[in-house]
Amino acid sequence: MSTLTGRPRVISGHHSTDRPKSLSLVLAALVATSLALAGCGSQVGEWHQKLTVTVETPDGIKTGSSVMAIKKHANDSQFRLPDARAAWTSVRAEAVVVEVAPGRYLFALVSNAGSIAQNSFPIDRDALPYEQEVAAVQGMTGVHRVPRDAYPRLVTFANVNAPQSVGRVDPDNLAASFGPGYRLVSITLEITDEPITEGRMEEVLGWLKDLEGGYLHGGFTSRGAPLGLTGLDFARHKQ
Amino acid sequence: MTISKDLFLAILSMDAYNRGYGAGITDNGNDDPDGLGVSTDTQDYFIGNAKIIDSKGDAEAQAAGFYAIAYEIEDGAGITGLSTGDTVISYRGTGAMAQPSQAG
Repeated sequence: MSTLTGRPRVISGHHSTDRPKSLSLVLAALVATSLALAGCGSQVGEWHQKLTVTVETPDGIKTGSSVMAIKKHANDSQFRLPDARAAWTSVRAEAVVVEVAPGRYLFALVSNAGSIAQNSFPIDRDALPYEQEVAAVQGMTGVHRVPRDAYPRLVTFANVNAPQSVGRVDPDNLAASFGPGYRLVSITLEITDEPITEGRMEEVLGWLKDLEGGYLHGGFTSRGAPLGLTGLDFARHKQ
Repeated sequence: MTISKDLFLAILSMDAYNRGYGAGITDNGNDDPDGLGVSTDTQDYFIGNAKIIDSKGDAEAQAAGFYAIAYEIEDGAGITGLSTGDTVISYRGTGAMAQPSQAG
């Protein structure tokens, strides 16, 4: 145990003085504060977005929608090294599902749900700081068409009860998956106050809950998994 | 033209950050998070002479902030120190990006 005499002392091999001890406490506090600040990510903004898919079928127009919750975070503390700064997105969402024919479903997956708004709305992303870009999305009104290159991934199942029967759907050629007379009319997005969609995926895909976010073939890695998909591509319930 | 093993491994180590969930570089393209015109971590896509053969980025991996991708060298003649058929595994652990519900 050290005593405070105002003179340097060597205690257990460590050089100790009054001033250095006080200084050490201050430095320790600064370091702790810096680390705390560096480790904290702040939420930049959040919104609910409604994604709607409209399909022309031989039996008329069919639509499906899903309301998704998006949160944008950033950790750009000046106490962090530049390479360690990051912005990220968390998503709570279900895929859009459209029953295009009895027992036949089209799914628009949630894989790009976190970026689809910024890629669909008329926002000059290059000209805006990240916080303003997020604010612009939050303030967006009206229904907007999702541009072709920002479409979500579209899939269907030959047998909706068999996860491994999943197949990619070409948005420009729905007939290849569903037969003649099927056409994608539009995919639209809007900011909304509606509550998020929950439970629809588990209704349609009875096996989804048991998959627990794993690969569709039940394997440990993606090898052999059809399209490399996991349950998280259909529903993300945590945020 | 040949490149060194170290250079190619460095490229693949960076590639892991731009594939799968939480890819660092994203663009507007569907299934094109790295902007290189290829899909995410879908098997049989190539980066250079390396073919993607496997990956780990499901809910279990995301919960731990982990992602890994495996490649097989298809033509070792272009890379000094690597041979055709060699397997390379590239992985990352990303704290802030490890949100289990992350997408897009």
